[in-house]
Amino acid sequence: MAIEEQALHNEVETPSQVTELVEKLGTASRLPNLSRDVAALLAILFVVITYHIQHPTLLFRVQFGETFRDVQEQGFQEAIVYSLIGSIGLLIITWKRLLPERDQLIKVVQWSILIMFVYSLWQHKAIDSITWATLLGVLMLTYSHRKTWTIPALRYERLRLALIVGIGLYLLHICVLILQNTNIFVDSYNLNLEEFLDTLQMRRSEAEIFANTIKVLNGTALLGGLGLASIIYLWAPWNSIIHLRNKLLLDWRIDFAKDMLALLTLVLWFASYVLINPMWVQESSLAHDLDDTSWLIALGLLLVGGAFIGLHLQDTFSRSTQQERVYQRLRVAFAVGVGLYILHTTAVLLADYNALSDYYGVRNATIDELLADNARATALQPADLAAILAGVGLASILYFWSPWERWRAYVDVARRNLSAIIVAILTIVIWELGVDFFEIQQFLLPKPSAIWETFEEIYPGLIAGSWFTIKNAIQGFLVGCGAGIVTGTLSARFIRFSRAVLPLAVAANAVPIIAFAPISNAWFGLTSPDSKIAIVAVLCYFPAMISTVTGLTSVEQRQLELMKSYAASQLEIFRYLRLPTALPFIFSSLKLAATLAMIGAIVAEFFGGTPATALGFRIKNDAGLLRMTESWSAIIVASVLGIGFFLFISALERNAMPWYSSFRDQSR
Amino acid sequence: MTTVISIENLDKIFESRDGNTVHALKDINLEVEQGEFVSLIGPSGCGKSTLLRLIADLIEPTSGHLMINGLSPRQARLHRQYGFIFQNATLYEWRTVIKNVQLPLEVMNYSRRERDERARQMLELVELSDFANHYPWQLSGGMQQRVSIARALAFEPNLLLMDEPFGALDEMTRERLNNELLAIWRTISSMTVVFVTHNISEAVYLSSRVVVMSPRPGQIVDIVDIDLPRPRTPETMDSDHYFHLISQVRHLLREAH
Repeated sequence: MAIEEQALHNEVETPSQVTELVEKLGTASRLPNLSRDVAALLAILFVVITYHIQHPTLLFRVQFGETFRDVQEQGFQEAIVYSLIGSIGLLIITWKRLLPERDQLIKVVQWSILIMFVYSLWQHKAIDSITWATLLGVLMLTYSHRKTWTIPALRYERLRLALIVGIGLYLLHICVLILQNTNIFVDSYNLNLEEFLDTLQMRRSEAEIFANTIKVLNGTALLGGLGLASIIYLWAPWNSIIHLRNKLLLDWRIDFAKDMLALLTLVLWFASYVLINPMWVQESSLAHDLDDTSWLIALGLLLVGGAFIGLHLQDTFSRSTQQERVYQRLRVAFAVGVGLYILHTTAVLLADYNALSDYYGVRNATIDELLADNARATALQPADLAAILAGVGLASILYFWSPWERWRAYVDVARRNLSAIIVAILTIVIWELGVDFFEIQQFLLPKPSAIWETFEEIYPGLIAGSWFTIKNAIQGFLVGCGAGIVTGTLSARFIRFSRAVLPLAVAANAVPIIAFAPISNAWFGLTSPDSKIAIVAVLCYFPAMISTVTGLTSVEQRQLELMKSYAASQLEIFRYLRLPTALPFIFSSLKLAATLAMIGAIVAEFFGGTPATALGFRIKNDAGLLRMTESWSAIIVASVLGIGFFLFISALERNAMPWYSSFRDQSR
Repeated sequence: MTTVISIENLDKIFESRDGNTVHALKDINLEVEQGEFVSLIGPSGCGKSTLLRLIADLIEPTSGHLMINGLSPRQARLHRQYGFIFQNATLYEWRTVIKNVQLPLEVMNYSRRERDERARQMLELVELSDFANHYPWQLSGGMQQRVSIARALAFEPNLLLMDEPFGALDEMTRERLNNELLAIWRTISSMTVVFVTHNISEAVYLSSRVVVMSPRPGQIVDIVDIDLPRPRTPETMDSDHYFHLISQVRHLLREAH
């Protein structure tokens, strides 16, 4: 964490305190915390996936299924709900100053998990209830020692709230889509999903061109959404409203002029958006005499938009407390967002150059031709509206993330890992050249470039199929670690229990996991995911248990005496002393178990009883059929998922123990 | 004057696992009145820390009588009659400064509001209000020890047991903390302090009585009354009487050795 940010987090306000802090930290830079970046990237991934799922034409292309209903049958609905919960959870968990009410939010999350736990028990779902219970436990572990934080400057806070609303709007759309099985936009056009798809039916030869057309349209819509969100954020009308209510009308003329200018920019945004998007041109009245008005609107947008940006940025660079500087940089980013949109629009309308259609190699005439069928254009309109909303959501996430605040951390990370990066690049280069040089055959070791080509082709199917694997890995992880932590706690407390359980745990750890897999299949049923979950759980159990015991018993004598001097009960000693002492041990075993869980889930699938899309099954099957590039692509997805799982646990760890020494010193 | 600590014929013998015994304390007799500041001084191995830990009921005596406020040490501990301060600050590194001060209050089920109020008061007393939300590792050793004093005082015990609290600090910091400790002791009337140290000048400067101990087995050699006027200030250290008392304690220690 940069010292600046540290200062922000520690409510250090006066300059002398900041200097003191800087001195304190000295030259020992801290390990950069990238959990925020991981969370942001996951949130963006979430938007991308859900966006594809709710978009009929894209759905078709990415092979998640041909209709939304197919998607539901493949258990993908479940996947979305989980990823939704996961993303929101991660947002809450990793962004410390997300909301002043974060405490309450976490409490709400904990209670809902508790309800899910009771519900699963009620339904006699053993695995589910253990999963929920463990999740609850992990959350409580993580948030038993929270830092206090201050409420930052009001304007900044309101802006962040607006960003959350932006993300929330998109989430709402997706939630309604999944839970109510209604696409709000499709409904508003009185379209039926089945008809909708019929309208879009086409011959295979046409499909590729059509797909590219759709991409151009969607790109336009996303950019439009970015522009729209940026204009509103830069304008920040809620500030004016609050000024009005508080009768702070000192310079109301300027405020009024700003508001008018913002409204005018919005109107122009609207007009220009209709003009640059062929789909809407057909409907709007502007279209009939397009050539007459388009340059006027473009010019207007350029001028008014420029004035809007200028006027709203003019007072940005006046004050310079920490908080204000962050706020200012955020506003500059908004201005860049608006600027991007204006640039694109004027290029399309004035210079007749569309960067997006250029990129996808689609001629404007083709788009017009394809959309000449009016029914088709109407069918695509809801998708376009959804794309705008997704653009707003993406913009909000991006602004919220504020990567420009964090370049120092990135540089730091890059510098630390310079040797690793160089080695990685060298490995790939040598691999690529070596395969050619030694004339190694493709089925033995395909070239990285060949793997990448296959990957690009089949990744949607791989991602869709990996859900089965991830789910098993996560459930097995939670069950195994949950059992490990509970029995570990009991062993640390009761020696006799430890004597009884420890040999069993060692034995379980000694069983080769491959030997256990067929047996587990026999126990839990070949096709049941429970058999895979059991394997993962056995694999994760041992490290969790052993390190819980170690952690709980490695308490310092003096600290124990301190608790004794307070006449603390065993339970209090556990809560206030043993558990926090054990946290670093437990978390390092959880990190170990996270990677083990992925390995276990994949190995378990080698023994059959999985859907044909499951990751482990594909790896084995494709390798058996000598489709090596396919097999390698699946391996890439598996390792990325494993790394992701590991990073997620690391993020939780950082959050649980901001005080821990390896997060504050250089760990060398 | 009421007696806070009364010790009669106290013996402590440690038995190691291979059957060796160490006679740590032999025939200790001591009475400490309310509001006194008593120092236990002696070379290492004289059992002064052991005596303090016996009072705190962190270990149990082999024989003899020990009463604290008319209670057995165990009862006194269960009734939270004393605050204990260790040589190193023993702060919990996962808690911020204010949370560390609140720790005993949390264990003792004080209400959230009272916890907050008292912890802030205590931090003000040790002049660390600005660092309430820092983590212990962000503080210097002296500051950490001040936090531990605040923590020990948070639940207002009338007896403070200090086990070489400033032993690991440099001379300057130690002097400063000595003065602060005296100031705190003055503010909280009727608080009794038992202070273990191996620093003669520190013991003389702070105490109303100095208990000089000898090693193997640990015994009380003599008890020196420190009749320096209060309040004691850095000027006290320049007085002849102060030097006289120091040399008196030093002679006693040398004889005992």
